[in-house]
Amino acid sequence: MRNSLTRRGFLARTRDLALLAAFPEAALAKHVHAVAAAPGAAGVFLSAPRMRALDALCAHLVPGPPEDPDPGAREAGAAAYIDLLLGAFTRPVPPIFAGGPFSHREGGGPNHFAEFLRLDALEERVWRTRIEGSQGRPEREWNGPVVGWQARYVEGLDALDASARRWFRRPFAELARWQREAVLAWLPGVPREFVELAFGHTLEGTYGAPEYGGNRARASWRWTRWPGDHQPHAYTREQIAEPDPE
Amino acid sequence: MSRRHAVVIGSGAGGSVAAWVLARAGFEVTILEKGKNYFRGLEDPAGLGLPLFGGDEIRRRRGFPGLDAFAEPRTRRSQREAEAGAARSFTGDVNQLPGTVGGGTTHWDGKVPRFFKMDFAMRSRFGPVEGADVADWPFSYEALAPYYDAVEEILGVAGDLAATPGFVLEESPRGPYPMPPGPPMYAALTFQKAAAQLGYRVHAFPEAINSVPFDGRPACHNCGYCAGYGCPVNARGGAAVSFLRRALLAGARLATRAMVTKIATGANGRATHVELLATSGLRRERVEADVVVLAASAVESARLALLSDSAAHPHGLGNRSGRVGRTLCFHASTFASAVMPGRMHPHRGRSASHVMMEPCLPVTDSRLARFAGLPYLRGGVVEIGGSPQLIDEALAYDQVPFLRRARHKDWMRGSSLRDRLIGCQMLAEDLPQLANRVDLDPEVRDVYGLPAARVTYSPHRHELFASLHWARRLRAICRATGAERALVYPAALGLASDPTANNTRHVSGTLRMGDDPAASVCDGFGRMHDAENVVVCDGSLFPTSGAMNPTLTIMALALRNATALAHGEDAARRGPQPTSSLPS
Repeated sequence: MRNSLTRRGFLARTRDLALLAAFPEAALAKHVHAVAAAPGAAGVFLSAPRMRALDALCAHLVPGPPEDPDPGAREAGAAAYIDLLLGAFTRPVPPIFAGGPFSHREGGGPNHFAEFLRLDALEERVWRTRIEGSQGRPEREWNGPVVGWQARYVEGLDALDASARRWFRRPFAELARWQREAVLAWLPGVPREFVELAFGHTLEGTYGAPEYGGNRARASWRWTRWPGDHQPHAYTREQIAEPDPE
Repeated sequence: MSRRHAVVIGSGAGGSVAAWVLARAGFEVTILEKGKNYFRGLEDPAGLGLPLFGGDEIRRRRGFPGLDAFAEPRTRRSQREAEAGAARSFTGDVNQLPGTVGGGTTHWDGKVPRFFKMDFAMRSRFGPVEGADVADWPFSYEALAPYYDAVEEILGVAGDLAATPGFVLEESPRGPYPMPPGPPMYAALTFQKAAAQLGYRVHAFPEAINSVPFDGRPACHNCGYCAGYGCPVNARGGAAVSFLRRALLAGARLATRAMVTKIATGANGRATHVELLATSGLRRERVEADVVVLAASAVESARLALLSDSAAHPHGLGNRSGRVGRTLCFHASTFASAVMPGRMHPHRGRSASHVMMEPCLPVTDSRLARFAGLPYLRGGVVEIGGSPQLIDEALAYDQVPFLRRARHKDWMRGSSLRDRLIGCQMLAEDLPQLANRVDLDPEVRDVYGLPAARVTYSPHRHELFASLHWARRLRAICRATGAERALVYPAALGLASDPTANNTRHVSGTLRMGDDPAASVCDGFGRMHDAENVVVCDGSLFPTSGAMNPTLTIMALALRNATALAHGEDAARRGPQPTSSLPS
């Protein structure tokens, strides 16, 4: 498998950073800043200490500078993405399903993705159950009681900090990488299911559409050379059928 | 004389076609769809608006449109687990299809090969297979061919007749395609060259995707968000934009968020009305029906039949034979990939632009087949060119054994499973077995409070050996591309790691059609043997699963069955009614 830390890869990333600087995305930035918590502050749902633990967890799972040359989950704002998902029902229109059809990221029109779709009563019931849990409500217990993502994150993040303090006498966010790895992988105390839930959400917050509060300034799409949604602009026959010029 | 009222359950490939035929023939048609409508202007004579679909991977992962296994779970167990008395071993997404207006054609990438002549006569041409229930279809390719033609004429199919291999045309004779093929994908062209060196003829996949403006819809702009996504510009044909729209313009009525809970029957066994939960499952309603068209897809149609027991149908609607839910088939999936030294940009285009069809021909002189005690090994269509998208790629590295999560970003930068990938997937014939079935889970419920569909499924050894046979050959092609690495993932591996069945959304066979009421549920025009005013119009009718993508055949069957319902069997045997006077 090729390791891309090569001269060509470095040059490509430098070019990407230049492109990023050349095209400030005012509309997107406005949207993202509206949903993202400031570093160290409480989130839409999570308290400040839990946000710090979550941010450290995300950064550990998909690292950025200085551990890695490219932006990681912290730089993408993955913790803010997860926090917004957990607090989705604090918004007039819960940011569950972005709108469509076009983001118009390359210009030419309004960003339809930023206008989230309204949930109907059935969808609201399903998504509240998934996020908030069933809370003893019969209409949410079609298959019995459900522990929602909110409770799983609260318990998981508290377990993360408790384990870190027990073994290393500091909160998770202040641990060295090897210590974080020990807490997550080797030492007892943190449910594996929680780490896997957070890993999936971290990937979404790192690599997904920025309208959901993650992937800030599309930085993750640049170092992965992923175009994302760029509609209605698309590709020519040559761009599809032929190799890209070097 | 009052008009006959047809209730159509499901607005996907089969239901939309049937609704259109019946509405044109003067029926009062009500289409009941459990999901929401993300199209705009379907009923507007002035033309379609842009839909709400878009290139958003997070939304797709969250079950958009209408594919939420948390709300509507299915359960799964293997045949062995069933024999041991296990109720289930998995609960979640078991080969689900989108529950939304347009059904599965909101997530398909429009691949529309025709079935081969042999698909209609596997039993008589190749004989029985021990442990399987292979059966002929109750009619031939020739009987369905005019319906294929009519569906393609409306759907709009892009293809390349001149480049189509002779054996394909011999097995599925046809005239010119309505449109030329769209742009070929670089990854597919690279595979095509390598395959040609080894004697295989890779050609443009027939696709219901506009290569030129067609039917008031634009040409595809090759955005790359095709398989798994609704088309954001309506360039892709499908149930909604091609047929449901015509049905609505002909007077049919569409009710969304209408979850049918039962097809009620009278003392004579005929359907009288359907019961449903309307408006997001909050209100119980009933709709009277002279005829019911059942087109909810193979698993859901069987579930509804089993939920519709009555005095006349004590074991479920149409289930006197005990066959409802049985001979459930999924196509068996085999992945093969070439990891190339350079970037292949497989995200540009229509998810897969080419196909290899040699594996659709049964191999009868194989040592592997003899070793397995099988009369033949049959693969299926090989779709070539696509790749996962970014979040799926990120998750894929995590699922590869021995790849350490700590190197996640190195894998992402190298992009061996996306941007440097030539991916192909073989979707192979799955032999029908009586023990592979849908029934009602005794405990697990959906959000409507109804018993979940339980899938009992194990592959026949034919599927595993056919996959091995072709995996070797596909890997050889991948190597011949100049790949750094050639990877294969045969069906057995997929089944070992995936709790669902065969990793495909191609589902068929639960309400099998046939001439013998003791061995089938429906007759050759989709009418239930035990309830003749219930006409099935989806993949559940298939006696065998075929070796090709099923949707075109579902549409052609629906057109034939609805023609018989509206105009009589003799008219249906002559072919579809003229389509030239259609509203656009």
